[in-house]
Amino acid sequence: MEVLEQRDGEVVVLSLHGRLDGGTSPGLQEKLFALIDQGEKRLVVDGSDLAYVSSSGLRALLLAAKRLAEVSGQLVLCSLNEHIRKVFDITGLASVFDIRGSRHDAITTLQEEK
Amino acid sequence: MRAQDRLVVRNELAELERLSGFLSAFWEKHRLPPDLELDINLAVEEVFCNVVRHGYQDAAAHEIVVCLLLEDGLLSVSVEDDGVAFNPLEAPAPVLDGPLDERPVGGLGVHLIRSVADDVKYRREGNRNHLVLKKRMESNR
Repeated sequence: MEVLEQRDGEVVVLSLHGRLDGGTSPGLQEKLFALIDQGEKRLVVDGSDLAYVSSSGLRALLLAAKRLAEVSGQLVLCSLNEHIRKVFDITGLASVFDIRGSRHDAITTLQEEK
Repeated sequence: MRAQDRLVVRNELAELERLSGFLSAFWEKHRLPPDLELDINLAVEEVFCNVVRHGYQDAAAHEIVVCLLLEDGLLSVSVEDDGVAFNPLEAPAPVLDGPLDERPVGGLGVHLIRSVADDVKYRREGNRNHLVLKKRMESNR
């Protein structure tokens, strides 16, 4: 899985390309934690090109969200396909993550947080 | 109509790519409903990852055998390994609600397996674990 990092003001957007599974999740978790350790507090994970997520991927995102909450930061997810959205619903994680329909909405949400 | 296939993988997470390729090829060959492929891929990954992470107490390479059987519209997927006796179905019930700080980071894999499959059974035979999940190949669309 490829992770592309872009910045929009104070918001860092990570675009995921491929599959977030047991093999690729550790890499994403490492990337997210590194950003948080560097002081980033507004993160978007863009799933427009993400085909699939397993519990390993959920774990990485959940750990990052918890770490961010400790430093009063926030993680927003966006553009999740139907299958991925279903996985979030089945596991009850749709209610703890802020999931937006577009990258623009996700970024705007974080920019409005003061 | 009856079709089957078999794949032997090593107990390494890097094998997930071969595993999904194997499932994908079977799906295409037998023209199974596309919307069910990711579901089964998810369930099989969760089973496989449990075996890799919890099934062994040594650093040795082990073989995990994945078999697919398609018969009269019912797909059976069996995952067989020689790891320690481990029944993932006995895992504690997952936490599916509550605020972020009260959500444990584990325990969701088995829940996903049960949610996706129509039936899941585990048995231990000799020194081998056998997990079989079944799903009717009827599209959700």
